[in-house]
Amino acid sequence: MTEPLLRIRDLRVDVQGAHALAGVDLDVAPGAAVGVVGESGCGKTMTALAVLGLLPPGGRVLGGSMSFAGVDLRTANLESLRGNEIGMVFQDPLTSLNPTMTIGAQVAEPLLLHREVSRREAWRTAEEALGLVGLPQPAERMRSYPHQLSGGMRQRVAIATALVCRPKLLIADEPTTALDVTTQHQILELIDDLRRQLGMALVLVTHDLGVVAERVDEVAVMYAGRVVERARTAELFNHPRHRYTEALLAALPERSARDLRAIPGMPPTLTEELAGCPFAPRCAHTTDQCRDERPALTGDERHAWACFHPAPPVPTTVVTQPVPEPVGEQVLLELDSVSKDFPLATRPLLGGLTGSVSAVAGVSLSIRRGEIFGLVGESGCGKTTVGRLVVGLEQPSSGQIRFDGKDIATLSRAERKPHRRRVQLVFQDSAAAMDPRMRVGAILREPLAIQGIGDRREQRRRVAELLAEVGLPEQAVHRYPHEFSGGQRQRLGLARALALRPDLLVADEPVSALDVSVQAQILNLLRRLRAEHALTYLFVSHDLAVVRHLADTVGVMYLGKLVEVGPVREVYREPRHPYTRLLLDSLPSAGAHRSSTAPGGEPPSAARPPSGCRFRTRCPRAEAVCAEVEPPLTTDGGRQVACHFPG
Amino acid sequence: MTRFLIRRTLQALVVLLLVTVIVFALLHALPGGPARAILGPRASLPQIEQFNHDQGFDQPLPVQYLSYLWHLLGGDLGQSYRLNQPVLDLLAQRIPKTLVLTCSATLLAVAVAVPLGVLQAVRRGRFTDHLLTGLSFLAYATPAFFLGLVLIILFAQTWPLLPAEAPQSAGLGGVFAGFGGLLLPICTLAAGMIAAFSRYLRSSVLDNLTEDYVRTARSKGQSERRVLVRHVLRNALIPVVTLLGMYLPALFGGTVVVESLFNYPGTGLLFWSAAQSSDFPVLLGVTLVVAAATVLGSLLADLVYALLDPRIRTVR
Repeated sequence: MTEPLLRIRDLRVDVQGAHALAGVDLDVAPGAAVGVVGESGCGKTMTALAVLGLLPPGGRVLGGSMSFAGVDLRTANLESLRGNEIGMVFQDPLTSLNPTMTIGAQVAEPLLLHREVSRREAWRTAEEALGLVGLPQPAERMRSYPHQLSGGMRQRVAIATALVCRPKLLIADEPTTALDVTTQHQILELIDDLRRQLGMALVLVTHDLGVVAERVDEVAVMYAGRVVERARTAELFNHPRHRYTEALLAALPERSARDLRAIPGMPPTLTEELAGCPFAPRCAHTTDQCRDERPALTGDERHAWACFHPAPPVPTTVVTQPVPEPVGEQVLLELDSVSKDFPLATRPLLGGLTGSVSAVAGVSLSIRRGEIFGLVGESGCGKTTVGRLVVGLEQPSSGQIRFDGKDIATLSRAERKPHRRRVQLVFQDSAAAMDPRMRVGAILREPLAIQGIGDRREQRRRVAELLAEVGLPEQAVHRYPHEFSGGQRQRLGLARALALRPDLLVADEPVSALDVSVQAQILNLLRRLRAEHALTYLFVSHDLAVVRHLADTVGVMYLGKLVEVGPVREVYREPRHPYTRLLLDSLPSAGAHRSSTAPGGEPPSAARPPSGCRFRTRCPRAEAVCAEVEPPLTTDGGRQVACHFPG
Repeated sequence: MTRFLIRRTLQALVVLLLVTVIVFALLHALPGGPARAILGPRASLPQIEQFNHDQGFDQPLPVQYLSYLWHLLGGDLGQSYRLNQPVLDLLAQRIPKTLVLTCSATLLAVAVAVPLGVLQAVRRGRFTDHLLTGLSFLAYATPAFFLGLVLIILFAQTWPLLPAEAPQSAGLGGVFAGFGGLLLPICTLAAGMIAAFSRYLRSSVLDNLTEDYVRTARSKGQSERRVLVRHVLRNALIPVVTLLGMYLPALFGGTVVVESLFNYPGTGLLFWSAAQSSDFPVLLGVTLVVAAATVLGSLLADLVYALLDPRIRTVR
């Protein structure tokens, strides 16, 4: 192996008393692409920040070595390396650009700092860089401010800023996590292209195994502040050796069958020094040796792991599709050309309304009792509004919502209260939707008290029952919502929703904020609860893999319209609407085969949707008729699609 | 932008009209009234009635108000009872002096508070921060009249460096010639502002330092100083500008105290003596000017806000 460009040995970092990094080893060869993956808190971002000396307040390098191109990073003048030899791209493009500086000034800044160039030259080079990252009309964009660009465009600007000095190494920390799936695909392709074009090395930090799967040469898996496994990418996905990697891959919804193999428990808190393997408390293969001794990375250059009892080198489970649960024929929820218009924001400087936007524009769908209906689409497509309409948080502008055969708009006051019991909502961060000053016991009892169910003693018993059902200890009633971890918060949210024994649960991105291993626990719980309580779900998500795993039926939304509906298995195997195909092609998938068609463009504004078919501006099949006639949602053999030229 | 300005001006006019109504009603609800104040306690009842008839005070209040308004539209703010001068002339003479005082105090406050606030934020939790925080609270909690007295005792009596009285000349030239006499009033007026602004800026800078864009700025390889000046300061100043606009009325309240204390013949002193002698036309005139200044101040704050923050500027 050639001399590595970046070489990290036994790096130890403390952040406010927590051992964020407990001995990280990592090599990046010149021009190579290395993925660093792991769940939140595993230290992947800290590793990246430590390289640039950008640790958060309270962060301190305790020991170990870091060198970049032969320079010791612990003693080097990092200011001369940052933005010059090493570029960095951060997660959230909405917040990582200075809101009060023009794009041009921000992209040109590293040049002015590190290169002896005039302002004019810097400006010109910055403009070139914007062109390089595919920003349309770079010359005009130079004078724009960040808020005038979409998230994807801002991330392109951030990448241009990182690359403008042609660094030898680009560190990208979750560069696409805040973006929609089609935009994510574009940005990943862009980084790929630029890396080859400029011959730079790449460290891609991500929680998403799918993102690294076909993008990098080598993957390092981190857990509890250490690299526990490192291998060539294909080798890692096909033959994981460390038990954690093995378990993590098995917990991916796109990889497994019926029940996900969730990893029990949670990653260790990093405040205590761990004697043995940090994964030992959650591992199915733990022995005394694991608890007492710390395993070192063993293996060769191609593949190394830090595990005493590695998985045998055989292929892991093949992808199998879930078999749908038997679903009843009775329709529980029916939407009949439901629309919801929102007034556009008033102009703060001028006043007055300027029109309205149809967040939901004529959506019809029906959900049968016991069904899990997955509603997917990119941000702003109206899927969340559909959920809010169904639970009655919003009133439709037109159209009918029928629950159990009754139009919910015509319910009398007396009928409304029992109706509310039957439809409940689960949020993305359920605990954030709870009163932070109420204890869990009071939170869970509140719906029972409001609906006047049972006396205090019965209510308490019911609360205990609910906690047991979602797998939380009984003592949880005395604690406050913020004391729980992400997965536990979601369990709480489910317990609260279940308190009134609803028929329909509307779950809005319930697992989006969770790590893979915890996500699997919640998905399994959702599935179990449905079976035990004959629940029906409207499952709103941007994550196609999760919907494929959980749902029976999937509905795809684009700019307020439902463009395709059908049984999950058929839609994923053979999408008929070109937008569905685009979504599926963009989906990063660990191990699955990916087509290389780069999706075009960004969704237009819902305030001014294109005429005719709303997708036509991005559609490869679009013809003249698509601009004139809006395709209706037509049924064909159990599947519905709204396209003039369905595939 | 033009439409925005027109709208705001119309709004301002409505506000001013409401101010006249309220002040007019309040003044006339006061016991005693100008006749007693001007003619003295020994004036007989017929004399008072004669005065009230001459001034039109025996007419119904709405009629009096409309008559005042009518004159106001003609640019006539009335005649001071006590000084026997047109209110307009009095204001024209006094306002520039108060402006010299308040503008100097504001400039001083901003010039001191900005570096102080940034320093506190950068040294957060260390000795400098604690010391400055303590001093800020002290300055903020000290009433202006007390601070003024302390300053007079220290710098005019113990160490006679500065005069205890502000310049008395009628013209602005004299004021600038004797600017040394204004230093104590300016400092008295600025102390509270420095405390308020630096505290505000401190938390604003701290908020901004944790923002992602600051990390991005660091990742470009800039020095910490450059990050602060080029990136953080502008963003941190945005909320402070709003505070400045809102501070204007309080500033006038300060001038009433400070001008009386240092016997500076500005608008504040005019207001104070007019209030003591129920000099209605003067009170109304000053109130109108202050109200107009307040409205103008918040308008200016909005404009500067838009200048600093492009997200406000380009909303369409």
